Amino acid sequence: MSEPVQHPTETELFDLADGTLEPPARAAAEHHLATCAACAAEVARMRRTLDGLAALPRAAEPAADLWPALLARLEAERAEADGVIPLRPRRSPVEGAAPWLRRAAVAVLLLGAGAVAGRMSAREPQVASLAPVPVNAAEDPVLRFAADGASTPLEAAADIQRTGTAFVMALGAFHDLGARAGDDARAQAYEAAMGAMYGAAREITRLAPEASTGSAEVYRAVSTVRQSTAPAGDRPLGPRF
Amino acid sequence: MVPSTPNTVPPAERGEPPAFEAVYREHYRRVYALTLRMTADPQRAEELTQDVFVKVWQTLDTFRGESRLSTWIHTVAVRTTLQRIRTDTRREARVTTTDDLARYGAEARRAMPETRIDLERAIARLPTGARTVLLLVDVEGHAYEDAAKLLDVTVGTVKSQLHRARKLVMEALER
Repeated sequence: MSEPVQHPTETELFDLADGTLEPPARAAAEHHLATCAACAAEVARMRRTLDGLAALPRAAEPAADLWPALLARLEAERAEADGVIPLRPRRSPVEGAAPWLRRAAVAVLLLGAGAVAGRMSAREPQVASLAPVPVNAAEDPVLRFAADGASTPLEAAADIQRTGTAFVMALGAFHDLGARAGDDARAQAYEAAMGAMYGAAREITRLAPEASTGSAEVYRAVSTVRQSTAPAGDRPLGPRF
Repeated sequence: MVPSTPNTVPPAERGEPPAFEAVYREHYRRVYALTLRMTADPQRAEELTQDVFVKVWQTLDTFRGESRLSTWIHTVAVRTTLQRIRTDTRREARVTTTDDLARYGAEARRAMPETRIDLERAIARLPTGARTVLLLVDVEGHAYEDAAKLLDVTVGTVKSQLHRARKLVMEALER
């Protein structure tokens, strides 16, 4: 007289419990539950479990403060990125000169250091005007060195990043020497050069947004040297990066 | 008090590690809860929490605000933890010994005083795959499709792993 009862599958019961059972099957399942105590109890049990899982806290406090160790790792990463950036191999490297000096020379030429707009103020950094020094790349060994290999704006920006980092490290040393000698003129030249670096990074970001990561590296490099060379008690040397 | 972070963090402003503390302070508890449950190993969870934030810091300039920052960090946390679990063959990924389970239970109780320990222990006992799926869907609230994407599997796999996990949890609760 009566057909064997068709219970929903376990999968269907789970889907019913978590609300993902599609309408046609859902209506049938709910209809079944109205007359089957076993399945109704099973679904109730499933719902209780799911409610319990959904209500579990999603925040947990570690036993110790992890920030100091994390900070140390971030600082180490940043120092690594700033300090050891291998130059891409060139087809015609300039012989003789120390690598950092070659790179610094390239940076000066690329940034048109003679066109620096002036000192940076604490609140409103002036963007240094970037009038490139017109030179004949074929004749100038340093510029040939710089131009070789960079075939896209992104590559050129990456070169500037690497060069810029070496440049600011050299500037840091320059600043130290000037400070020790009490040389105000040298300190001012250092400030102007830092302003040029910052302005260059801003220009790169504006002209080649895809190279903004490289610019961020320049920002960081500038910031590092500035913070490490700022005399105690001085006003901040520029925007906080 | 640490101010809440904006939804986008311009590259220039995240350059200094100390400035990143605000992002860390706002999100670390959520990340630790996830890594703790996914690994069921307090020590690894602490290491992974740091790994996650290193990764977030490294890639923060790729975040363009298309989702909430917390969602993005959560995704980084899931992927980073999964990667670590999958490549870590030094230890059993599953809590098998009663010592491990006791240690995990104690840490869960300490780190999340309001939690249900019976559920935490039931989750910790699951095999890794089942545990991960259950955490993503039933605890963290991901849809099947999202979980499938995060885990790089099909929705069908998510569902079958999920049902297996639920059954095991329900059985564990009965004991």
